[in-house]
Amino acid sequence: MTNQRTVLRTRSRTKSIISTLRLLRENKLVFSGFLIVVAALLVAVITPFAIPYSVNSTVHFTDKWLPSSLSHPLGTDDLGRDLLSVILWGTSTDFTALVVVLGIALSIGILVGATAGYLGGKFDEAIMRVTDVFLAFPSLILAMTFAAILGHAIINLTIAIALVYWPDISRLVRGQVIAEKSKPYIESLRASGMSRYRILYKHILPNTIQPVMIQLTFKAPWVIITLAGLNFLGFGPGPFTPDWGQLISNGYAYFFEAPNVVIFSGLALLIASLSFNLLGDGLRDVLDPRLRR
Amino acid sequence: MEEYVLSVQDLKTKFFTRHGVVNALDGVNLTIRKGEIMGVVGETGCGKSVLALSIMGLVKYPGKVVEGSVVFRGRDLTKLDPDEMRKIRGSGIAMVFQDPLTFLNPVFTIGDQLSEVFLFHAEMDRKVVEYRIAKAKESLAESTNDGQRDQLIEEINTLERAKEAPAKASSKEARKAAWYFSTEMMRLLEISDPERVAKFYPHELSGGMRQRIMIAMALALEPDLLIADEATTALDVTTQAQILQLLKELRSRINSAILIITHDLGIVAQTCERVAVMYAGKIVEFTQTRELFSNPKHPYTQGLLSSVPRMSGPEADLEWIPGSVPDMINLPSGCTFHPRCPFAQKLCEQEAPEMLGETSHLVRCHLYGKLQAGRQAYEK
Repeated sequence: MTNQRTVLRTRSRTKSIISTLRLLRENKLVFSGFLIVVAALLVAVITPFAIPYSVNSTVHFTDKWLPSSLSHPLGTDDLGRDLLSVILWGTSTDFTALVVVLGIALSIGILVGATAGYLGGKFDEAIMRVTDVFLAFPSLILAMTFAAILGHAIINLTIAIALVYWPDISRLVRGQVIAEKSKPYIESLRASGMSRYRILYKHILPNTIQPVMIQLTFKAPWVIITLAGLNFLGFGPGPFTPDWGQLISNGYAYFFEAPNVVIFSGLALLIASLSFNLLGDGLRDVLDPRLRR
Repeated sequence: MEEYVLSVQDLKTKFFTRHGVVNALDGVNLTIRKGEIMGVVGETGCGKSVLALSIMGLVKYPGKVVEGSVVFRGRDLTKLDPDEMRKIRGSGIAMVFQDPLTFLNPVFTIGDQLSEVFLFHAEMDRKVVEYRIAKAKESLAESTNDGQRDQLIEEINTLERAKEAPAKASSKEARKAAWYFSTEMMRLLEISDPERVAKFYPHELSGGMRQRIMIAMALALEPDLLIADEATTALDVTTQAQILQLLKELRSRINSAILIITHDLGIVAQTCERVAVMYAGKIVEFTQTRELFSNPKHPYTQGLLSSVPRMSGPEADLEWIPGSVPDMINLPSGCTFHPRCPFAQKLCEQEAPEMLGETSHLVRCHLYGKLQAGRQAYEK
C-alpha cells in the first residue's frame, strides 16, 4: 500500500515533466529554441573533453585566416587555430559564464528582493534606493567599470555582469512578493500559526518563481551579448580563453579577406540569443500550473 | 461552574484610518463553552469578522485591539508575544475562511498543504510511531498466516510501548506519516478516494471539496476552538447543509467548540446552540438559539427575523429593516440602532443602553430597562 503510493507520486512527477515537454512541443519555434539551448549546454559540457583541435596553447602562424577546407570545416582564425574548435570552446566559455552570472545574480536578487518586499518599511526603502543607483547607469558601461576594476580574468567579467544584473531580479522578486503577500491564502496560513519566514520561503517564493524563470530566459541573451561585448572591447582574458565576442573583435578588421571568423562567431551569438528568447516565450505559457494536465 | 473554552471580555478593536477612528468592536463580551457550537449573526459591516480576527490576534494595520481581554486556556491572548500566539493559532484556535479557493496556496497540491500542517505543528516523532501502528494493524487485518499474525501483534505491542518516548524520526518518515494522516483527515471529512484527491491542485476541486479541505486543515491538530468565518456562504445550499452536518458530527468526535460567524439566520437555526446578535460593533442580544427564535427581544433581532423570507402562508411583501448599518466613524448617539428602530424614544437618542436581563437571555435595549413600563403598556 505504502510502496504503491510512493510509486504513484513519483510517477505523477515524471508525468508532469513529460506533460511540460509536450506543452513546449506544441509550438514548433519554442521547441526548436528549447532544443538549441539544450544542445548548446551539451556542447558546453562536452567540448573541454572532446575537441577536434587544441585551442589553448598551440599557435600556427603559417595557417592563419585559412578558408573552409576538409580538415578545417570553418577555416582558421588569426592565430591559425581551427575556427570550429574555437567557436565550440567559446560556447563552453560563454555558457559557463552564463550559468555563473545567473547563479550569483539569482541568489543575491532573490534574497534581497524577497526580504525587502516581505518586510517592507525602511529596509525595503533602503534596498530599493541601492538598486536605483545600479539601474541609473547604462548596464554595459557599469559592467565595463566593474570589469576594469576587477581585472581581466573571465571570472571577473562574470562577477561584473552579475553585479549589474542582480538589481533587476531583486526588483522583480520584490514586486511579486508584495503582490503575493496580500493574497488571502497568506492570511489563512497566518491563522494556522505558520511562522513569517516559513510563509515567505515555502509559500510566497514558489509563487514568484515563475516570472523569475521567464525573466531569466529573456535575460540570458543579454548576459551572453554583454559578455561578448566586454570581450570585444578588450576587457577579456585574451586569446587563450576563446569567446565569441573576442573572435569577432579579432576578425572584423579582416572581414573581406577572411569573412568566416566574423560570420560564424556572429551566427553562434545570434542563434544562442534567439533560442533563449524563443524558450522564454514558451515557458511563459507552460510554467503556469493552472494550465497543466 | 461551567467550563469556558474562550472568554472575551470588553474587547475593543479600533481602526485608525485617514478619515477617522472606526470603532469596529465596541466592548464585546462573549463566552464559549467547551464543545459548544455558538453563532454570531449580524449584517455586513457590523464587526463579525473583526471579532474573529481579534480573537486570533490577526487584526492588520491600521487596526488594533485597544482594550479588553481574550482568555483562552487561562491566558490572555491579547498580551501574548507573537511567537506564543503563533503556537496557539492552528493547534489551539483554528479558523476557516469564506472563499476556499483564494485561501489555499495555488501552487501546492492538497496533500502537500495538509501534510505541512502536521509537519509544522504536530509532534512528528510520536505521529510516526502512531503511523506505524496503524499500518501494522492494517496488515494484521489482511493477514491470514498465523506466524505472521503473531509477529505483527508483537510489533504493535513494541510500538505501543515506544509511543511514550518516541525515537527521533527521519524527515522522510515524518513526511510519509504526515501524508497518511492527511488522507485520514480527508476521509474523516467524507472525501471519497482521498489518496487520489490529495494529489490534486486546489483549482481542480469543487467549492464544497475545497471547503472540506480547509476544514480538514483547521481540524488536523484538534483545536479547542474552530472559528468558521462565513465558511459556507460561498457554497450552494445542499453543499452547505452537508458541511454544517459534518461540522456538527466532528464537533463531538474531536470535542472542539465551534464559533460560526454568519449573516444567515438559517445556518444559526440549524447548527448553533447559543447565538449572539451583533450590531455596529456591539452584541445586542445573546441567548439560546431556540429562545432567540421564539422570543426575540431586541427590535433589531425582531427585524432580522421578520426579514427572512417564508415559503408558507399567504404571499406577502418581504419585510426589511429600514436604513442600513450606520457609518462606523460617526456612530449615532445613544443606542446605535435608534435611527432604524421602530420603537425609538428620546432616551434612546441620549443614552446608550447596557446589557440587561438574566444571563440566559441578555439584551441591550432600553425597552427592557428604563422604558420597560412603556413597553408593557404597549403590549397590553
